[in-house]
Amino acid sequence: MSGSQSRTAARGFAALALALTALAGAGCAKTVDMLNSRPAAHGIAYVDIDKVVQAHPLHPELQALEDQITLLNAQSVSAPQAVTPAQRDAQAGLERDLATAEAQFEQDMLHKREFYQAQEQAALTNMYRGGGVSPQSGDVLTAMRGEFGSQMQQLQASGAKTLEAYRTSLFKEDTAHLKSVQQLLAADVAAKVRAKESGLVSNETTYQVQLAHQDQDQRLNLKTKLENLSLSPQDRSQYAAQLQDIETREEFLTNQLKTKDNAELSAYEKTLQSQAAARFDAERTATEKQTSSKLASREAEMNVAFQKQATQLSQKFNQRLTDVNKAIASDPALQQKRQAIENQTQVKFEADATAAMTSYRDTRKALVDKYSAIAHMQFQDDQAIQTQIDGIAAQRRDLYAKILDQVQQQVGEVAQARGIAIVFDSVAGSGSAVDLTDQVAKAVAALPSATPSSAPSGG
Amino acid sequence: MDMQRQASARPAKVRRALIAAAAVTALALALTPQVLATDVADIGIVDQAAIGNLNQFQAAKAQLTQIQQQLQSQFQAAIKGKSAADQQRISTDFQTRLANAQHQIFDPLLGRANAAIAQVAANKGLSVVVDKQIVIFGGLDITKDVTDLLNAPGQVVPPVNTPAPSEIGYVDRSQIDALPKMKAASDQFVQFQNQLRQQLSSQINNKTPVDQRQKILAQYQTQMSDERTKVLQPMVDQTDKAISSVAKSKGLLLVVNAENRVYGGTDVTADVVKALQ
Repeated sequence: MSGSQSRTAARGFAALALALTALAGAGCAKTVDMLNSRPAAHGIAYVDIDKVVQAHPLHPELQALEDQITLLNAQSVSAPQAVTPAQRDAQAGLERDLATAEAQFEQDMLHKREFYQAQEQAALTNMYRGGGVSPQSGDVLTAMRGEFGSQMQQLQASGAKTLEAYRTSLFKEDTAHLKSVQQLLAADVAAKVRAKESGLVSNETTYQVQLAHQDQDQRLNLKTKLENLSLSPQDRSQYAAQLQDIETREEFLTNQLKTKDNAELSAYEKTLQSQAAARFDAERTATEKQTSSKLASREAEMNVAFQKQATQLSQKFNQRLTDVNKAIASDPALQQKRQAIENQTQVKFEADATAAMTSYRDTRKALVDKYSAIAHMQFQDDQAIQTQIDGIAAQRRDLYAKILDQVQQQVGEVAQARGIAIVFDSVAGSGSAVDLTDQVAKAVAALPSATPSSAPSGG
Repeated sequence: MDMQRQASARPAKVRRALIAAAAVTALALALTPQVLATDVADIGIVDQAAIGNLNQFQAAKAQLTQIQQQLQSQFQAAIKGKSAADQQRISTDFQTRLANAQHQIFDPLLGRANAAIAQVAANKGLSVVVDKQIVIFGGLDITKDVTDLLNAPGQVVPPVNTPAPSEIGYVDRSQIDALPKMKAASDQFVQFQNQLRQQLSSQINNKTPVDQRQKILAQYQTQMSDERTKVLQPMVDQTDKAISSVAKSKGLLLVVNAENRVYGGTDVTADVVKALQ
């Protein structure tokens, strides 16, 4: 390479290097600029939220709550079992009394709800009466609701009754039909078995006759010999034994055939029974399918009729309701009063319900203690464990929400710094999106455990 | 001599400068966020829970609850005095009726909601819309547009065009779970769990002291966790690997679970199933 050539090349390299450096410098400047002024974001990223939550300083607390829940769940699975008859009786008594207490509690709550609803309704009616905006609008509203409700109920009850009657009649028909099919099949099996049996008996008789015919000459010969009076006792005994052998052999062969026939007959009957059972099952399935389809089509017809009637009723009701509500809505003071009455009733109901719930829990605990003492074993109230689980689960939920708020804030800061527009926290698989998990986890781990939460505007 | 030395030294200096510049460039490019190349303007998010809280959905829920209560009382009346077989038939019948009612009430609403989401997405040129609950930061939220459309009177017309190809994939986990090896692993785990529970019941009796009981329960948890790691974790790892590999081969940004995809997106289920077989 000559001096001028190498200089030219050097100049070329220098220019290229300058351009690359400028480009790199621009890249650096852009990165720095992005970190400082948070430019318009374009990127997409994801975080493994479980890993990030695990890095949070409050995670051990969260884990402890989860462990408690797991342990309580396992405890409810492995409840001690009653072993002796006395313990089993006590357990049955406990279950019965717990069920009664539960039913009573539910009934009690229902009454309370109805009582407060009625009280609220009465207070609202009084308010409407005194409001002067719409004379007797409260009464009208109450009466209208009652009337509409009862009309709808009547309509539904009538439909349900008709459908129920139809179902009962169909089921009756099915039962009668299936009974007759069963009888026919049973009669068919019995007739076939009888025919087979008769054939086998006839064969057995023929066989017996055949055997007797085969042994006829020998038997006659031996009988003739035995009729000879001058026969020595030894010979007599021998001939008699031979004659007996013939009888025994014939009997054995006949019995052998009978045993074989009995087994054959039994197998034949079994086959017939199983064929009949299969035919019966097929018939029953077909019948039930047919009935279901009949019921469905009747129900569909009734639904159409019901919808039509219900629409007419609700249109009428809605029209009247709109008129009355218009009158009420035009007075803000009245609305405020209504809200106050509703709130007051709600507070009273909640206080009453809480007291009832406490008393119900005490009753359950007392029952468990009582029957545990009777049975000399510690019974377990699964409902009490469930309540305990629910309480811990609520604590866990609150703590998790607090952690998540802080995590969300960190994700937001990291994402903005990196020019990312959207961050997913639940992905099935990653492609070319950026994984922010480690970076966010590091930021989250550095948080003090008592950092006040402030939810960012993510999303 | 100096001039000559300088002349011969110049190219070497230039080369060193060039190498240094290239290194700086590489460093700068490495520092520049890669994500700049990606455009996510066509990804929308929607809060399905907020849509479910709209008056029309709440009214539908209340209607279904009412029907459920009516059917329950009718059912109780219908099974009175009936044989066990008839009770079973009546139960099936009532379950079908409840399912039918649910379809009758919710299908039109869900159809309308889906059409509204599709219309908003198409108007905004989105290729995919996902549920807000899987997005922790950012995203173009179209919930308000959708609820406005749903609250407006009249029919919601779905767009004629199908969504544009998307860089966000989705996978139907139920199809993966149905694969023989996945099902076998799941069954094996359930069997182990049942056996362990039986064992647990026989280990703990009325006379087991509380501390001993706690110890047994803790042991039970450890065994369950070990079995999960042994039997289920390999399947989870295989699935994750297969999904990521399919995502990369198709040039996707990421893959979400099908239940979180609301509109558009690229279905990779068949590819993932194939990769796992």
